[in-house]
Amino acid sequence: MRKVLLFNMLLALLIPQMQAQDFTVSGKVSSEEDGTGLPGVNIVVKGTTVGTTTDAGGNYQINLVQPDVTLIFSSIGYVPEEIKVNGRSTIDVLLIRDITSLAEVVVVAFGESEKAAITGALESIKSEDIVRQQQANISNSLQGLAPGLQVLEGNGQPGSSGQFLIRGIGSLQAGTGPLIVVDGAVFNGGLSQLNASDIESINVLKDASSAALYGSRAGNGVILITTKKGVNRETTYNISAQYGITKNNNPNDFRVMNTEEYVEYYREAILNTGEDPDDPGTGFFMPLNQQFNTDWVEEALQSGSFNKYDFSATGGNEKTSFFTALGYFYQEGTVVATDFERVTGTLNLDHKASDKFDLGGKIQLAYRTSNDLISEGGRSGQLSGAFQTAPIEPIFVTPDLVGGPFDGAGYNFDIPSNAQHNPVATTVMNSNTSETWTMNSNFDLGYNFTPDIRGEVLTNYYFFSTNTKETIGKLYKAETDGGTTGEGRVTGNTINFISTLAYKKELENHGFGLKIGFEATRQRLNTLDVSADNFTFGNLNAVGFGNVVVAQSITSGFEGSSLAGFFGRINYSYRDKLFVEGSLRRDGASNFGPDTRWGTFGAIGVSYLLSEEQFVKDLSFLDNLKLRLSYGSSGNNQIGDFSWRDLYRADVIYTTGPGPNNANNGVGTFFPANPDLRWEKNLQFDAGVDFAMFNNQVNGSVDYFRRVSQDLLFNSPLSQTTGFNNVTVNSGAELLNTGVEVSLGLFPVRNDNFLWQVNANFAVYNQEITSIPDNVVFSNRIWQQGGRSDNWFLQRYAGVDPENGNALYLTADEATTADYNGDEDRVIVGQRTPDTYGGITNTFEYKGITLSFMVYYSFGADDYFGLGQDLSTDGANFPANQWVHVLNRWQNPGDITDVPRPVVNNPNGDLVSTRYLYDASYIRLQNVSLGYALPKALVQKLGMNDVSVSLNGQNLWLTTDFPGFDPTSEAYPLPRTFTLGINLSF
Amino acid sequence: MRKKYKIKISFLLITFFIVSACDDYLDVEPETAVGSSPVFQTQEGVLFALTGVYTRLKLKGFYGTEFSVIGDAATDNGKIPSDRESAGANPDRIPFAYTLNLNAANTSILWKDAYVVINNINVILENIENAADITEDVKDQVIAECRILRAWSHFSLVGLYAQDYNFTSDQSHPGVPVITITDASNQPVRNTVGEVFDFIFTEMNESIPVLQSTDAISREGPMYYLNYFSAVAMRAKMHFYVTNYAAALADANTVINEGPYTLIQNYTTSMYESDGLGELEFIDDWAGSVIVEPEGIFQLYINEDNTQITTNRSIIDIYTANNGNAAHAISNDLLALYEANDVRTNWYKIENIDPHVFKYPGAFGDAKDDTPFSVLRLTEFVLMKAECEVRLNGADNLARDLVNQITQRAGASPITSSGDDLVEDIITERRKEMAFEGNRLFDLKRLQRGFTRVDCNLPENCTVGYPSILYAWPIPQDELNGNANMLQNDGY
Repeated sequence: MRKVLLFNMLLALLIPQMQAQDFTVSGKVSSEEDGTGLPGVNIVVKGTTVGTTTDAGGNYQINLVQPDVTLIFSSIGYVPEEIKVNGRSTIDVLLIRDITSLAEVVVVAFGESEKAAITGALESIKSEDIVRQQQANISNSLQGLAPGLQVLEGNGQPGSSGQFLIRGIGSLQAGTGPLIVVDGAVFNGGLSQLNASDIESINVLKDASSAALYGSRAGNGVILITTKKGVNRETTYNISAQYGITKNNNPNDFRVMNTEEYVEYYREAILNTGEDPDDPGTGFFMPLNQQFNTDWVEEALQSGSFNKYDFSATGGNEKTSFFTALGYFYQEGTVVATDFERVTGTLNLDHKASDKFDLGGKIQLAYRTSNDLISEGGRSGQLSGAFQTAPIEPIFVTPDLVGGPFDGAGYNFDIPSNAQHNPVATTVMNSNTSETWTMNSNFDLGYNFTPDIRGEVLTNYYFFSTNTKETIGKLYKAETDGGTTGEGRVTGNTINFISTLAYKKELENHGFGLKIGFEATRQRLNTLDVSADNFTFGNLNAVGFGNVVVAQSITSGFEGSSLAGFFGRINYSYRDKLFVEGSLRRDGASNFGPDTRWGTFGAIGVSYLLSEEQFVKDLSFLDNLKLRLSYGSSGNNQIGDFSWRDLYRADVIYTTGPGPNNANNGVGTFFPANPDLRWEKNLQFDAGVDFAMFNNQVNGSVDYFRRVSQDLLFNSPLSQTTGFNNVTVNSGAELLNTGVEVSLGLFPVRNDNFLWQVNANFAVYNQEITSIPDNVVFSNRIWQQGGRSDNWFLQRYAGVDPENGNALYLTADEATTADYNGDEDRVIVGQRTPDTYGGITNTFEYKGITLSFMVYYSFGADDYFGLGQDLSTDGANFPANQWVHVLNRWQNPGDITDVPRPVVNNPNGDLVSTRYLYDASYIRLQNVSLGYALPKALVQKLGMNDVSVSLNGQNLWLTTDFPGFDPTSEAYPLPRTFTLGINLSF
Repeated sequence: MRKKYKIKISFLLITFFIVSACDDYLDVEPETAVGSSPVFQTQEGVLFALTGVYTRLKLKGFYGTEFSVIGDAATDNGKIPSDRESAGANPDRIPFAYTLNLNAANTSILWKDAYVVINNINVILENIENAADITEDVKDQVIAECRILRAWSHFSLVGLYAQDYNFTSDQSHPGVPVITITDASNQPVRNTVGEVFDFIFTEMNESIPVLQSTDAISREGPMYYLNYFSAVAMRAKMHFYVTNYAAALADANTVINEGPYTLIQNYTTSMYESDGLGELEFIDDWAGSVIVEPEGIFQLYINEDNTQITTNRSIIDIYTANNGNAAHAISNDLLALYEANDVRTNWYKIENIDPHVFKYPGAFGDAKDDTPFSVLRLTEFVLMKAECEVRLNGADNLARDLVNQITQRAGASPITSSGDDLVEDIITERRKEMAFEGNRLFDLKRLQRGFTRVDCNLPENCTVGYPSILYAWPIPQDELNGNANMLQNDGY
């Protein structure tokens, strides 16, 4: 006993001496994401086995023999950091989340999975990449962030939604958009209801293996959106505010003529027609001297404001955690009288009642309202009028009379119909508004029957109600006397119920997983539309103040569908390096007949972690190498709710005189039954490789896919003697989409002070109709075997005959002709979707300053410039204003130009041809973001966790040959947005 | 422990309960539309379906616009307005009907819509037995009206897509498919013109007696529904156009002598507000929401508002220049036939350069683009009787008395000719009085005559001879696409 005591005392004396000789380094390891301390981080002296780990708060202390060693900080899910000590005694480290880490847990179909075990093609998009972009609708923020996900951007109207395409166009006549799932439940609402700040992650399931569990609806891929949840930590509050402006972007200086140009052009056209522009007696009087020069486009465009405010709180303890947020968004459009406003509220609660039983709930409320473009087709819209209204027309006839906003008398309505209308009066007297209320709620239960068996039930209820109201005011005299208002109400709801049972067993070398489940969804939607005209009051233009003229002014509609499915998935893993996954789903859907409504879909996937094998481990530069293979089937039922049944419509009203009293109810055939209608099927093969090299300096993945779409729904022509034109059938038509998708991450520089990260992705696609029963020509495209489904099928424009200034065209067999034949002489001249697209994001970090910019490119698509056609009709649309391009018109024999000689009411103008088809390839600087986070020490003195400011720019630069405002939105400019934001977290 | 047990049980119960409810769950009813079986469960449903058939006579390709217009447009009565070429060239204003630039891509107009009417009728005839509460009288009347309207639809089709009845002596030239079944996969061949008319007359002859004895359906507005006399009038017209003048005369006599119709005695005029043109002088009996009421036998009220099922271009849009876009002008060839003081010249008003057709001025009340269209009126049968009396009986005096009722009320000089000249004068009077009621083309075919447009602004087709491929319009391409058994007309 004594001996022991003595020994201990000796030791106690010795140790301080040893410490005094050695060198001690301490500090804190934090997550770069949120600044919280990271527990369990391994710290090793490079080249030795000496090391330690961080404590629960992320703090560490390590004793070193020498002060000039290098420390390696590593933690699962984070990029390892190597730091030279260089004699310092305090080293704080920020670890960056490693998006390529195999241990990272990602959201997959009906659950979560470690990235290592994933056998399919899946892309994860981080919330900060979405939040950074100043978009009212998150769909537009996803452009360029994931290879394989293409966003066909909406127009510049704030809140307008982009359309998604995952791995090409896989259907001819049914829908091509992916299934969207929010927090586990299928989401049928508009994405403009979601606040980007509430989103944790967005995952894109591209191949059959990852999407097959959604079975019948996964043929076009799946987008999984996960919103933020509470975490077990001290409550933190987050306040952020952004303020900015939106300006329109016009990279190619697209504009219409001013009065001088206009008069010059049309006087020439009038003379070409053999009329005298100086003779007031004809209908062609256009003197050189003009009183007005109105820039109607300038009047219709504006710089708008941008505001976004968010407040959130999150926290919890071991039993209960929560996330709650309130958000406000407002953006003015770049076209006058358009805007978008949204208020969102969310509450996410999770509660662990016991080790066995847990439950959670979510409620997301949103209100959105917008002022949209007015009457795009008619003579009452602000943008439709802006381009074509003659500049010689004044805004006001009698400016003195303009007393107030409802004084219609002052505006100039005396504009000939072909010269369009007064878009300034439109914004004062007409309106087009939309309001939507939504509620999306989840209730989920989980029960651990044993440690290996867990059951889960998810119930989702989604409700929305939309009111739209479009008014042409009583005082707006260009089109309808007395005004007209149409109001529409749409209410709908979706109920989604999912129950699953999962079993998991880990043996020494083998892992098993099994999940079986059942899903049922039901969707209903009712519409009610009313319209009235001839208002009593000039300034009160609601439906109630007008006359309802005919019975058909009130219509209602209904859509409803339900779907039920059983599914199962088996996972097997061997030594955590070989993973096999098989899934099967059987679905029934109400939009097919009773005999054909059930379909079975399945997939199998294998992944092999080669880097776990010794022969690969020997290759020291390789950190990670994984091969993936998958094959499977999925379906598509986006064809309308009742296509399979014979239908009578009830609105076949027999009128025997004016007014509702003479309306007699009748019914009549609507469309023929096809009880054999069944699912469209997609068969997809995917082969991929994931890799990381050079200490994770380089990482990425490459995927090849081959997607065959079969049993394509097709409107097959019928003998019209049957009383019907066509019937929807599953035809022998077949589509093949193939492509390669690459994503790459690089760290060209990564040291203590400075970080440069490059994330790039690109995709190359090809599409082919491999089989089609009959050629189909519609909307300037042709479907034929061997061709694409999205081609342009147009007669080729061959410029202008230098002798006489007439337009020339090419016939199908290459002969030049002056005779336009827009039917038989059409050939395939281009395609509507790009061959390749991608995005590159560069991020630089230096001492709390972060600079990132994202460039997106899209090559190979052509776009028809319809506005350009309307605005260069060679006199056919006299006296509407024209694009300045027409000033290059032919004037004298011998002139070489591509704009024909103008003639008033030109019968050969305004013809559809390749004259207006342009290469719509573009490169866009989509986002630039400069952020600064105040130093932690300073922030903590202020009692804060984080204080940061940021400057953001959206859509700052664009280069394209497409001559309109933007290749994705030819008439409504896609706005540039500049914002200044501040974020406080405490 | 007990609590956990409860949770476990409820967990399984919830799942089981939902799963077991699955079968009905997948049957979703369309709610704002309805399948055929529920429609025909009751008499009320059958009557709604019958009303639906009348509605579909107003489809755009049928009387809504096109069939009403082409009978004049494709002849020496109409021309494309010289000042409105671009408006007239808009395809939905059927410019090819004026220019006779016919091809399979543009002539689906009547074909498609008349067969929609026929199919709706066939559905009724196949399902009417399912109506549990239908009375025998109602059932008989519905069947009779259906068969007559089906015959009338076939009559309209064969008139446009086949050569005239006497084109071959045995009527063996191709007509149109006679359709009496509902089958979406049917790909019928064309019946001969003889077979089509055998079918038509059988249907008429069997159904007309039913209407003579039955009036079991109560409906308002007798002009807008079939009855015994309108059915007989239809048969008279059918006989007339197959040149069976004796049978036509017999039926015309029934309509004239027994029917409740009286000729309008005098065409008086007043000033009416016209949309866009100010006050204009119109004939009172032709202006307003009810026209030629004393002599109206069968009319359709053409309304544009009912866009989903009829038309978005009513005949108003083609005939009058209400909204500045009239696609149809009247030929001077026709205008020159009227004497200067003929009241009927008020049917035509000059807007811009050309005279346009204002026979259906519309623009009453709030429904600017609505107008009634007269399918059958007593005047036609008076003129028919006159022509038949001269042709069959040489009754020139009787015929002159008949036709001069028409000239007199219009303020035109009486007809004094006799014999063949009188027949010609009656035909001309028919052209003048019945102009733009859709008959001229079929009269020319009946008479096996071509025509010459003197007032012609076209590069071709100013003269059409007989026989002509332009008298049997091409079978639409859409039909050929969906029916491998369909035979195209000669020349296309």
